[in-house]
Amino acid sequence: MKNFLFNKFDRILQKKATIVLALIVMPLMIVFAIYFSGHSASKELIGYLGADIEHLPTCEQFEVVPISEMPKLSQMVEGTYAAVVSKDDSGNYIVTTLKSETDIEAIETLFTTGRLPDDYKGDDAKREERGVGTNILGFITMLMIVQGVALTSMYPEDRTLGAFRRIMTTDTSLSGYLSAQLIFTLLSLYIPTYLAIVLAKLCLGADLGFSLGKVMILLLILTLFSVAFALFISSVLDRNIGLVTSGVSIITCILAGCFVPLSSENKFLTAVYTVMPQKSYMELVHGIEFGGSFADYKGELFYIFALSLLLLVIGITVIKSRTSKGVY
Amino acid sequence: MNFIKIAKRDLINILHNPALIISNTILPLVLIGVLGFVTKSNFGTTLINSYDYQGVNMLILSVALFVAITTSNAFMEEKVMRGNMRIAYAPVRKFEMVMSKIVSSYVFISICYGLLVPFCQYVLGLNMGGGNFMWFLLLLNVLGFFGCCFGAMFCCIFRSEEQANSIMQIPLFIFIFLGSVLIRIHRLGKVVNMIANISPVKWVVGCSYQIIYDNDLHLLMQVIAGLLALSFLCLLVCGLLFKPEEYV
Repeated sequence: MKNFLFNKFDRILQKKATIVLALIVMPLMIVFAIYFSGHSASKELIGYLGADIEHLPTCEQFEVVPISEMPKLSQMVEGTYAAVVSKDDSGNYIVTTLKSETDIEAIETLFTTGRLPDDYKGDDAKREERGVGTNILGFITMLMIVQGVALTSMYPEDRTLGAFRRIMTTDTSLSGYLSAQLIFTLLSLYIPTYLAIVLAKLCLGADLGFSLGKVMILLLILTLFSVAFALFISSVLDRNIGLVTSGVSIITCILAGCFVPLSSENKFLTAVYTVMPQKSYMELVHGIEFGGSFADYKGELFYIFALSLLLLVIGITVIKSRTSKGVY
Repeated sequence: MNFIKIAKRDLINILHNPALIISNTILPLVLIGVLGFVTKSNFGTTLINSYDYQGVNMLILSVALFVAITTSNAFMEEKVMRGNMRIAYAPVRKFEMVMSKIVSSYVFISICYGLLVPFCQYVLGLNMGGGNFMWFLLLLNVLGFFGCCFGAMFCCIFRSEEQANSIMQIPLFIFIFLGSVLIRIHRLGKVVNMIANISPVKWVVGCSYQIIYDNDLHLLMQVIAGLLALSFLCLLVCGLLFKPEEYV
């Protein structure tokens, strides 16, 4: 096993592209994610079409600017203006926006009374309420899953090149080979990512929402899951591993609410959300960020670990039964 | 003649791969459904609803992401590699080999999206520009062609499907992120907005919005020219780096 592990590290040195990916691009993206999920540089804009621009309302969530002509629909879709407000002949405000009814009412209230309703929360406010750290780790979750599979690619490569068959015909064990691969993926996934987060915190002074110790544990949980998933998908699939990974990870991460928080009254959909392991992870992260302790989230932790273990066991069983049948 | 034969064979290979077919037909629809549903509460219903918005965005996302992966599969998949090795011995110019993979995967995706866009417009009732959907489709096709060339370029650089695929996804995700397809990034400040302009996905997104929502085609030619120029650049790299003898 030790030899396998060293062999992996030796081989990775030959693959400059993978090194660049693991040690430079990935950390850069994480620093980028941390730096930008902390804050938006500007508030959402509301354009005001009208002549009486002296007493435009001000508020914390929107910035009202006077505009001279109606923006095009494509500009609204791009988000240049969150809404456009104009006045009709009888002095009522007309709100044109792509946003929902609730937002329209809130903006009307803002113009008639000068302030937003107290319980109104725009997109930015919702994001802030969710927590900086949760937003960051939600984004990182998807990167870690994709990257985990990329770092495990030597194992399917061994099978393609026939090296796996040759290894299995010697007196080395399958478990030795797989443990080496697991340890390798774990280390090369965890260390650069954690270092990137530490660097972002110490050098750029980014607001993580967590202490470095807590991030260390949370990231380790995520890494363990990603490694298990990577081994599972690389064992079960013969081909199209990259394609399936990106499809699966995008859809499950969206459904788990890694990018935008979700909630639904539909029971079936709630069940779908809850099944996603990333959802449990997001709940855990959110709870920890707002002062919870790990002991409060035993159920979520148990689910993540149990699922990781299950994926690992399925992956190993598949590859074992194939090896014993002589299909490498 | 040889070229057409190889390209036809490559196309058949792609059609024998269910993962590629699913990811270029059903997966975009699933993405539209899921994201449209998830973001429903953020959108009103009068101007455009969440499904219209996500429909356009997810079609662009899947063309940007999955097409390049389709090409690298057509190029370097284990089953195709052996055939490629034989072609390398045959009296076929090496550039024809690269081109046949690009052309076959381009034909494949242009059929897929040629069906998907009208399906979204007329069967699902999403706003793909109404009668203008042909222009949107044209734009997606050119983006798809660029994706094919981009995927082939990564295969020529890394010479292994797994590596090419996994590494290619990172620049593609950066393009997609900068293109505001998943999350709108226009409020992250001037610097980010300036950087975002390097992303071809961003050009396509801006142009598609104008075609679909403003009925305005004036950006179309510029964006197509830009994408074709980038595709040509990728082809150039392919021509310089592709060596069939290292193809093992």
